[in-house]
Amino acid sequence: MKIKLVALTLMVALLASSFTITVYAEDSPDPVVEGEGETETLGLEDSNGTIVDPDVLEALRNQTQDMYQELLGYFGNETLTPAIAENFQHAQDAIEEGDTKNNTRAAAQMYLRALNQFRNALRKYLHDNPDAVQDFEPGNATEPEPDLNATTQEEIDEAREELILRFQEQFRERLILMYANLDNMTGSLSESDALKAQNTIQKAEEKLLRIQERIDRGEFDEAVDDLDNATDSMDEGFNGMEDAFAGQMLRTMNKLEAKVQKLVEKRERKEARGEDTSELDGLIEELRGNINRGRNDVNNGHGNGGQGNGGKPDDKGKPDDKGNKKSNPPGLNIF
Amino acid sequence: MRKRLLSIGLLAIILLPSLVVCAQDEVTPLSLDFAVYSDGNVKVVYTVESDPTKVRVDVELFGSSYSNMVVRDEDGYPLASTATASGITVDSLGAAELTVSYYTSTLTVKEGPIWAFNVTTPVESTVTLPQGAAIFDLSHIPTDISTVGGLWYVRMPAGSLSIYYVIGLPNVQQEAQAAILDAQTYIETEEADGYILTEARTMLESAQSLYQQQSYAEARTEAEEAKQLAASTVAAADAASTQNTLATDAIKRARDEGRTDGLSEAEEALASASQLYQAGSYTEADADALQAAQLASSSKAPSNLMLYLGVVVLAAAASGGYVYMKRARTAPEPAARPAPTTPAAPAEVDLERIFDKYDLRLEDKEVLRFLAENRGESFASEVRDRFDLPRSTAWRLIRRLVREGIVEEVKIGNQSLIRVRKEFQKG
Repeated sequence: MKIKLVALTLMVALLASSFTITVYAEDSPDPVVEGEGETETLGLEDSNGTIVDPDVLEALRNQTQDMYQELLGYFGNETLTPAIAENFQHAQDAIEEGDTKNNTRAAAQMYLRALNQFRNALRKYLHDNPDAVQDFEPGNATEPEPDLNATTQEEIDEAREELILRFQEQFRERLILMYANLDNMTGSLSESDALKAQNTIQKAEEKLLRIQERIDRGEFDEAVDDLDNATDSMDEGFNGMEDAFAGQMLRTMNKLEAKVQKLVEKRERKEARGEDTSELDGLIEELRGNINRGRNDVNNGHGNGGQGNGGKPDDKGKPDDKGNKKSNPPGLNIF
Repeated sequence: MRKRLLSIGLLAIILLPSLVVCAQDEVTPLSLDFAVYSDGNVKVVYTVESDPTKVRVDVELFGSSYSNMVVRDEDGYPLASTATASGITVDSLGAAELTVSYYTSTLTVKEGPIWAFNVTTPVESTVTLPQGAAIFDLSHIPTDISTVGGLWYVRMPAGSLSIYYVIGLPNVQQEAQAAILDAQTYIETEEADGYILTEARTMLESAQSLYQQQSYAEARTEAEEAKQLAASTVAAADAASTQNTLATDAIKRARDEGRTDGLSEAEEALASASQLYQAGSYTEADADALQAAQLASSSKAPSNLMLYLGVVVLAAAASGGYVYMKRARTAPEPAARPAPTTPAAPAEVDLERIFDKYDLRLEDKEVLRFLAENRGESFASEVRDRFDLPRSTAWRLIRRLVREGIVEEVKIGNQSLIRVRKEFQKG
């Protein structure tokens, strides 16, 4: 039980570390950081742990300056209302304060504050001078540009037929690989889970056969529906296993296999064009290496004195339905 | 059992980092670009990583209505899609990457001239603002911001973001630059023509200095005023030049007319005007030249010349009187018949004898009868009026009678007096 808890804790820790970046990205706007007493210089990390690029900071400052000039120029030398003058004063104060900040984020916030004051100034001016709206250029229609990305229904239908055939073929290949993966994990699965997983893959295989008949009849819309149903059913089958984690692992393995298929496909296309494939080779090898390492660990657990099967030293793996010892299917060699 | 669990746990630890994405949703955002157009339409290009084991995937989109939707996989194959409540369902058919592009007008709102672009994004996004847009406010500190070809590119962090902008706000910096260039060109052109524009040039330099200090509004105003000052200076110079010419002419005329009293003051004023003009003090030069012209006009001849002048005037008057008298003596008197220049006063005309002697036309006889009724003579104009004859017809008729020797023509002033010859007069 303790070992299970440790394993789960490690998983949670790993998952949490992966999401850390997302948490930063979705953070709300940073609060204004007062610069008094700060010793940071431009480009150094600030108290929020993020740095505002000096170029960005300069661009923001320039924009505040431009807005100041633009608005003064636009409002002209007329006496500004006290409210607008106040906005200008606040904006100017914010710019000056921003200039004194060593903390990049604090400085940037000050410039944003100045921009906000300018927006308020303009709004007030337009409120006091409704006719001034006419000074601004009306919005033109969307710039006409040739949409090179445009496509026709005919092109979509044509592509769909090709993609259905390709997907069906890749799905079939993956099912073979899934048998192999399942075989490697059955030593760690309960009997009912192993059976459930095998049934899930078998059902998917049967569905694929029926889908092939539809494709042969040219029923492509129905074929897509059936393929969707087959993939979803397989995921649901794995999700329905007693050992939820094992089910998740099988789903994940399926996705990884698909990823490898995609990368291999991409590599073949690059090879055909005579392009360098070393980067893709590396990615594929890395992915396969990870899978293999995980599998070896499991296998080692199985083969090391019966570890992983209840500690029976002579147990080399679960028997199949017919009572035969399972061997690795040929598909496993792909890894 | 423990070992088995540990093995699975270890496998998970090895595989999970690369599977985190896979274990989540069917799609994972990769990149997101918004191109905002000046009418508020937005072109969205959204690239996501897709689950390659899936036949169909749901993709959440941005905005509430979409047009020109195109979905392609990583190989560029166009894919079928159907709209859902919050996006689309794509027949991905094992695609590992999807690129969705579409237009929507629901990401922007406009308040007066101030546009707001609002969106919530799951990933860092790039927003391209329309040509001529000026950013007024940003909800977040951008991760990147720049302008290329007059377009703002703003890279914003993931989350709920807003960008406020205005299209068409006058660009004071450009206007200042243009005003300075305009003033500079004008001033240099006029200076090349010889005008001295010191004050305008000083003002232009002030405008340039303000521009360097990024005080664009003031720089623009200063540059415009510099050009105006240059233009008014040129106008003043032209006026001074004209006035100078007038003064020179006035002085020459006065000298020619001998009006030398006060002329030296006029000449001094003119010299001063010239000096001021050369120094570029055109307004003062104009004033001095005007004074010179006035002094020249009011200059007088010396008093001993008045006698000669009087003689000349009297002589002129006498000559005029003589001419008048002469003209009066010879001038026609339309109302009163002038005295004939030839002797023999008119008498009764012997028409019977004329008609017997000459075979005359009927109209010739009528004219002779008219002359007889007028004691043998009449102006040609009276003949024309009496018989309503054209000038040429009357002239030919009279020529005939003269040629036959019946009448004679006498010039009196500008008129012709037609008179029956003496041999055809009775008594």
